[in-house]
Amino acid sequence: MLLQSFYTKQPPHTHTQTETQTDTHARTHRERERERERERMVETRKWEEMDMDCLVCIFERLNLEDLILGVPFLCKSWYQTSTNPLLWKVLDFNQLDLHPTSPFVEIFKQEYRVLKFSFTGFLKFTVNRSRRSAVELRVPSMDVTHVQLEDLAYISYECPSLKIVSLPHTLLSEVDKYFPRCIANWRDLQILHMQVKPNSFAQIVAEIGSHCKNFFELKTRGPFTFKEANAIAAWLPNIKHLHLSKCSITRESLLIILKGCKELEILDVRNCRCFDVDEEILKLSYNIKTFNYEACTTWQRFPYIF
Amino acid sequence: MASTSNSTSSKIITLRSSDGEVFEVEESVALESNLIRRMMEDDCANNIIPLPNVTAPIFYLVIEHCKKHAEMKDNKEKKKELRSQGEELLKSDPHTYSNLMEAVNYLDIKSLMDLTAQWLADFLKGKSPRLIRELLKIKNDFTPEEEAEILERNRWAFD
Repeated sequence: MLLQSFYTKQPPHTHTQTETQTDTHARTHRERERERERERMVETRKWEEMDMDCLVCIFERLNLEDLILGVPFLCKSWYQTSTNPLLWKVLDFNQLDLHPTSPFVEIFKQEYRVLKFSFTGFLKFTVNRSRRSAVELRVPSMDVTHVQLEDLAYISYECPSLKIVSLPHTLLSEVDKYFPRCIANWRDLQILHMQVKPNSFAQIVAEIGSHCKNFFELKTRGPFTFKEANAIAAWLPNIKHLHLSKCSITRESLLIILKGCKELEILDVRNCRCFDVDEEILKLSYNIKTFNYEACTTWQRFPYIF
Repeated sequence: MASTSNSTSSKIITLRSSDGEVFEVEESVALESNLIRRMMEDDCANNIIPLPNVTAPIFYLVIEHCKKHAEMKDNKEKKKELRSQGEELLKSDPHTYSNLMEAVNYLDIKSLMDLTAQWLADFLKGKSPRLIRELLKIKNDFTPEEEAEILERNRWAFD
């Protein structure tokens, strides 16, 4: 119907020169031809036969849920396209509800005939789709998304192109210990977010400093030791963004970072209630475009922070 | 006033669709297509440019969308109008929509490719395979063996 309306709305200069306005016979003939052509097209050109480039262009605009549950089982070419590694470069599990009883997991189990769903399995399934080309991996902080040692080993080996890594709240102690060793495999790493500062933080920073040339953003949370501040200043002198809100960093540690990291553009130390922002701190942070120190005061500090 | 002088003096490009229909299109519209641009750079500009992969009805649609897209720049109303037309076509005649997308892909019109792909992606979001199949009239061409093989191939991660 809409196609018809496009015909009738044709401005004269897009019409063919060979067609004269008075020759109605020829026109009806042409219209009949066109009608036949349309019918032929409808019969022969179908979504199943769509060019893979086209399908990739569409599918790359879908989120993980639609890519996993929506499009693969429609027809062979759509399934093939849905496994194209280009579509699995961003593995952001924050988008998904991975609880065992969530609708997503229920439908996943049903569609893929999986009896026992696990985060480890799902991680392998998606990472495998990326064929070693994943650039972003975000694991949410959910009770079901604990990263096991096996998971971390798999990610570190199968995702050598990661640029962005975001890890959840809790890291098991063996994962915490093993994590620094993964960094050497992620030479393209640029951004690392850790919801809670691991015990191996200083080692992680040292590994990043020695292996990841383009690293520019670090975000973590948790009490900061003197040693850890020193590690940042020593290993990441060129870091641009440092998000350390609620880190309860001491004044001395902050000064070490400010003196060591001269290229900082963003420094976020909100709610670090262990220091007052004095003149020395302001002077050292003068060149930082965004220095956010909201609620940084020793006056309101919590009793358990010292 | 500038626009009238432009429209009379702007160059006309002649193109021929796969079913032999000849189109005369303003150069500014034709150049939206990187394929036509490349052909013109290769000095085919004085002749009729053949488009062996695009039929006349689809080419009409492409030109129409190109013109609307040129008009819609910085115009939210037109943008909405074009979007709702695209969505209507997708609902009423999904096969023509797929042909439109393939023509846009073949003609290499980036702006239109982004738009039509985005509309379709938005259309697909949150829909079950059953509903998508029904709305877009996609035929399930898996044999039971192929389906079983695919399921088997995907199950390894959970074993």
